[in-house]
Amino acid sequence: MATEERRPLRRWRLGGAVGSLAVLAGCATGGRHAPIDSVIPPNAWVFASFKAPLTIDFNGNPAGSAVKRVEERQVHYFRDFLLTGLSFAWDSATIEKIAREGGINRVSYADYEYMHFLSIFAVTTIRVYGT
Amino acid sequence: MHKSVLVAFAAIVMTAPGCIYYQAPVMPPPGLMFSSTSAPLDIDAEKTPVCAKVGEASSSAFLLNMFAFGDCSIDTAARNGGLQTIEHADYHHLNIMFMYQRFTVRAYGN
Repeated sequence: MATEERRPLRRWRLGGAVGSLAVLAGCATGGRHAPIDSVIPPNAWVFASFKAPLTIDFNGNPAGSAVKRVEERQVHYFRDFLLTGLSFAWDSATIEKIAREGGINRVSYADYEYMHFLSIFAVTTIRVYGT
Repeated sequence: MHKSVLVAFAAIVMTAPGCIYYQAPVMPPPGLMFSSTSAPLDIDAEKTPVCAKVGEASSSAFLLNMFAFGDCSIDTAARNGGLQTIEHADYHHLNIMFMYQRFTVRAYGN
């Protein structure tokens, strides 16, 4: 009897815990915590891999086949969630450096690509386009 | 079991807009159950010509934002529309109960 009375409470607790975990996971890895500040398409908390605009001010800049794409640079992120809980990030990807090394004199726009798995491992890629 | 699922779903849906939504310079009020909105991406419209050519590129998220993938980059949008120049850009966001979200970038130019 006592066991049956407890069951609904357990279910509610289970539901609440699942909901809270999902929401927390979403908050921890969702749009607000993506590494880009201007445009973020709907993000995900298990796996995400998307490309999106980095610059959004165009003013008639050359585009498409009129520009050349410069080799991208990546920033990596890794979190050791099992042993230490510490996170590590390395590499640099600045528009200035990418454009200079790629021989671009005038930057038209830039895009980024973001990939992560459970926020344990993430890669942010910057791509610069110009003439 | 039904109640626990309902509680979990309600918790996610009630708090989802702050956690698993998109981000853009201009964001109209979102709909939790259904949302289909368009807004400017490029907000510097000074002396911007109105263009007929448009290119689109999309990225999507599925199942309460468990998975997300796609390509909504400006470069892909411009190439899809055959643009040689970009004058401005808008976006369209579609949300169906957070089971499916689609973010489409629309680039306008010549």
